[in-house]
Amino acid sequence: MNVRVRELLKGIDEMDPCVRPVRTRRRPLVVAAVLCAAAAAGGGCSGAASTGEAGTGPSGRLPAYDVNPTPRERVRSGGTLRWPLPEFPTQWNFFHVNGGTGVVDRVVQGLLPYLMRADEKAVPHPVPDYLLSARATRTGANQVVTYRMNPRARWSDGRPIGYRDLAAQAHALSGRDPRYQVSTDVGYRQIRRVERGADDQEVRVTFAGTYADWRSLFSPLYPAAATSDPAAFNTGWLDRMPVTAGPFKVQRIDRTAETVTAVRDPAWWGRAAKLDRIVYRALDSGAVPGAFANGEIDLMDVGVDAGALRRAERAPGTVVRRAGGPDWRHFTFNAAGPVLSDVRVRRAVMLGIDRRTLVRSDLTGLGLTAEPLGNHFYVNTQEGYRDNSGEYGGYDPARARRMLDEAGWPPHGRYREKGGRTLALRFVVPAGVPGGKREGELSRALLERIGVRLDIRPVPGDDLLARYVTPGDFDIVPFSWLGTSFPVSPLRSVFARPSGGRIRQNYSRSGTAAIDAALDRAIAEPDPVRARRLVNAADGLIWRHATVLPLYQRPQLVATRRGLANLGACGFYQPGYENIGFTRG
Amino acid sequence: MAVFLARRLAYSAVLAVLGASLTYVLAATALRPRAGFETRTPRPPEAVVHAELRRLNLDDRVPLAVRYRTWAAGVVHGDLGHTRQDGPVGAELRRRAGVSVRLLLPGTVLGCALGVLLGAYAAARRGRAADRAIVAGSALLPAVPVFVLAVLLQFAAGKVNDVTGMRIFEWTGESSPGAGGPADRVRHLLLPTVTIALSQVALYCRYQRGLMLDVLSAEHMRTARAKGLRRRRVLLRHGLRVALVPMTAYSAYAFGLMLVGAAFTEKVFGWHGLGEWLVESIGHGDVNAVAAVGSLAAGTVLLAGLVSDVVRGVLDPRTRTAEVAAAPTTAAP
Repeated sequence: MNVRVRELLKGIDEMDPCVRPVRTRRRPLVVAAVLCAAAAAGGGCSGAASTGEAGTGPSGRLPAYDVNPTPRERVRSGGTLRWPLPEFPTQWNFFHVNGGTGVVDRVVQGLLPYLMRADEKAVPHPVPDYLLSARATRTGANQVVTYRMNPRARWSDGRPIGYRDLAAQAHALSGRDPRYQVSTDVGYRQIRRVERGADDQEVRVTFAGTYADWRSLFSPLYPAAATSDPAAFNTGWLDRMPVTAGPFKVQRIDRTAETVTAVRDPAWWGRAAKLDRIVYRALDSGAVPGAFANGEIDLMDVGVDAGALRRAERAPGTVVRRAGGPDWRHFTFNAAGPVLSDVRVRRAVMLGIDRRTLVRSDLTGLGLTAEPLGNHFYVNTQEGYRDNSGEYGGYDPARARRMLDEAGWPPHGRYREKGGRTLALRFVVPAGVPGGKREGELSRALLERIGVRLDIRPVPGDDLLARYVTPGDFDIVPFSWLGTSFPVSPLRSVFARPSGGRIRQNYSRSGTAAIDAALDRAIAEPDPVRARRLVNAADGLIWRHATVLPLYQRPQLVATRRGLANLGACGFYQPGYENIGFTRG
Repeated sequence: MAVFLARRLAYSAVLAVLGASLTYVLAATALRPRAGFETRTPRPPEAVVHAELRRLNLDDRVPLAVRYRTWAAGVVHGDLGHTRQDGPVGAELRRRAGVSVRLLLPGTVLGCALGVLLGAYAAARRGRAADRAIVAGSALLPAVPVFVLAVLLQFAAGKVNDVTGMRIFEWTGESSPGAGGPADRVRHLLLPTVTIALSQVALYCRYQRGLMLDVLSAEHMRTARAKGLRRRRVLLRHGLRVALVPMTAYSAYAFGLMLVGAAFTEKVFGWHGLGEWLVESIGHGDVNAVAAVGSLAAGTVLLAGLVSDVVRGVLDPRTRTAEVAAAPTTAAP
């Protein structure tokens, strides 16, 4: 009666493996808070449902974000926002191997420069407080990005933000100096050199070849003092944040109460922060509902738990914000298994599973309707999304039966048989997590209609990946991938063919040369529009290869105090923390 | 008494070393700190993971004996190693032990005192309505999991806040951020204290009632009554005092275990104490932290044994004679 209960409380896919980008949100496996903030610049948020009651848009699609967008003049100046964190970090250097979590990201977004921030459709834009412009050009085979920094931007120690900081960060994260304990060298590894332009505020970054996701770099940006010396990089941000440059500055880090207090920084050169103070507070998921109900925190992630939603709604003065999140749930098929190695059987199973039923069952009681997801890279609210499911996305048991007949699995009693072997599949779920088990039971009933037996195997949650999925001891496994604003390069390791016994995260253990080539073309394409087209081409191939069946985009439900403005369920949106506040009256 | 205590102390020290070592070996064998790095995407560079695990003495490719020697050498010098997040374990342990004691002490003392009184009262009223009510209550309460009890109390307290329109109860953490005066701290302690007291009172009550009933039928009680002492005086001076002796042993052990085992209370009320740390550290594969909490648990239980021996010696003069001291001295739960 210990860890397992916590997972029950947390809901559906506690044990999700994660795919995440270099930039947006990172979190360790066990931290399941998808509480992400979004703030809209004054008044420019026409796409969002602002009432909070309207859960879905006209076509049954979830809105891309739902953050109560409010122009700055209608946001009261002052107030304290109390914001829960799922854990309390020690290492505040996001790029250190111990610091690369979503929690660190959430806190430093109000304190450090982000050269680019994503909008609600996951399209990155320069943040003018730090970056006036960024332009990508080519010299020969190499891509050159010219950054024009804001000359007013300064660190809290008085130094201007510019060439030295970018150069030092690029060097520290390049992976060439082993003394830096970096969380990743993706992107920075491709940087060949960083040069000073006309002045310190103009920076020219030259890549070796093309790096299409260059917009993900330098967000956040740490000061040169933190990145020019390995000792400062590894230990200088332990339990402290010595230098900041944002609308807020750190007032206090309290290890005993596990709180970080950030206050409005008078030295901030942009539009002044509306809030006086943000108090981030580490709270266990068991403490969050009670704290919210009693008004001791101002917002909480509801997850996809209808019970938690009802409890949150009962608290007086609560508004629940709903939006489509970046994460997506799916079934992965083990295409190296004895039965599913035949693509015809995989396609038949896809056709035999009614995704609409599964979606309705998983998301029942949440006050929203969602559609099955038709893409392996983009979710429904993301720029570039297209439904590529084609002929394999619908529910067609008659056709599924025909396909199984053709594949040589004739019916024999209740189930199909071939050479004395029954058509049975192992459906592996983490024990004690209700969502996966329910999906298994529904799928068992659906697949029985086409003569396929599904054996649900609950396994200890901690063992799911290590003992079952990675070694290939399963036929179908349900879980979620964490989506990102830059999905293609991280998802390459999920769909690329295993080589030399290394499957990386391709748990289906299968791929094709055509998919690999299509992915490589998409990754190397610097033009975002053309890149999205190439991604969708690759996605079509993956649908036909039938190794991963996407179910739905996971919704974000965030309960907030009424009047909280420019923050809520944000989807991909990355906030300007200076605009968060409480409305007047 | 001194020789007896010295012998107990030496015995406890050996046990503590053994307990701590076993905890470390168990944690280092069962937990996989590497998994936390492997499940991240993009996965940190192999060399970085290797260097980090090696530096924190968490590398499963290093033989267990070598890792144990490194850890033990550190512990001998007062260094409990570093957490997965690179914080010093010792400082975190002290901080969290303080939090746990502040959270648990009032509730445990209250629960213990109430439990003893109720138990003694029930025993004195054996078979009557009051006794039956107390027995029924003390059977029901332990059947309610602590986190259910805590959530129910929070629910009720929230209702009181709503109805009165005042913020009488607050229960998240030790204090409100930014406030933190003594009154605010006391207010934050109310609900956790009631929760802990309720979860403890039933156990103490049942135990005390049983002890008391044994004592009541003892010969010296009858003798005392026969000599003409009043019933109340007999109950308190000769009954309760005797029945309290094994109780001290029980309560010392109970508090020692409670200190590292109150994970649910800590989690539900947002206190960052030892229990929460232990559960989190097991989840993160944080070997050094688990070993530290385990060692502390071993230490506290043995210390509790020692304390109970001393208290028993004070309360019960017979213990100081050699032949009784050789008998089992404690009633471990």
